Amino acid sequence: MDLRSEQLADGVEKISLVGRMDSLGGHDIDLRFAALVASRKLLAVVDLSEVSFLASIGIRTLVINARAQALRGGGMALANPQPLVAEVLKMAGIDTIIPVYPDVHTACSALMAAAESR
Amino acid sequence: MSSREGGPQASLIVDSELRELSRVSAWVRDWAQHQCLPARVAQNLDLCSTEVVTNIMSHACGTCANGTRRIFLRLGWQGDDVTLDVEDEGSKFDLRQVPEPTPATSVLDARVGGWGIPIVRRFSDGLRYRHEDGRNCLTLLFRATAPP
Repeated sequence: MDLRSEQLADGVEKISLVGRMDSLGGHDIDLRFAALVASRKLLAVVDLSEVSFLASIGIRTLVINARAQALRGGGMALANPQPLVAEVLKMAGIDTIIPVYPDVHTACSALMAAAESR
Repeated sequence: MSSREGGPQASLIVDSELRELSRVSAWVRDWAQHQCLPARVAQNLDLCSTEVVTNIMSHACGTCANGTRRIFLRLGWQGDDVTLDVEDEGSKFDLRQVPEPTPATSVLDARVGGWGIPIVRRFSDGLRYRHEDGRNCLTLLFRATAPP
């Protein structure tokens, strides 16, 4: 599994995850993901468009980092999940606690609007 | 689709080590491709096998008798259903008895783990369990037709 990051706007980071998000994939990215998302306050858009597979261990990674960011006063959103990944997120109710958007641009705008209204 | 009862089977034995997970997934996907399963059925099979095997690797085999640390897998057909049998020699564990998790109301109170068994329930079409000769014997069923 791979991870790429890119600054979209001031305080907004896009994190693109690539590959199978299972136990092995988690080993590949968990430390880098936490270093990017959980170590400082920011608005994080996690692009899931290249995640082909999301297992329960991947849900764990998403929840831990979204929680860490919420505790820092920032925010995290998910963008563009493939159909099976979206269904796993919905089944676990993750889409009700971490917002999911159809694309990165919409996710970025929503996060910025929510931050301005706080 | 006509019944494929008695159709091609495949079996695999893996060590209870996370590094084996990629071998399990490759084996499942290869079999699904050879059986020309609909993509969605193959995905569900891949997802559920990953969850069940990960659960055994993470929780069960620390308690295996006689130092056995292997997981036995078999894919086959029962009528028009694909069957995945998974056996291990860990402590008796019937995942059907595990209660459903309580839905979270915010990311601050969400559970971080325990989603594997709900995933198996949701993405398979049936579960059978028995404990026999010191082994947990779990069978997952998958309807081999694509959902609407």
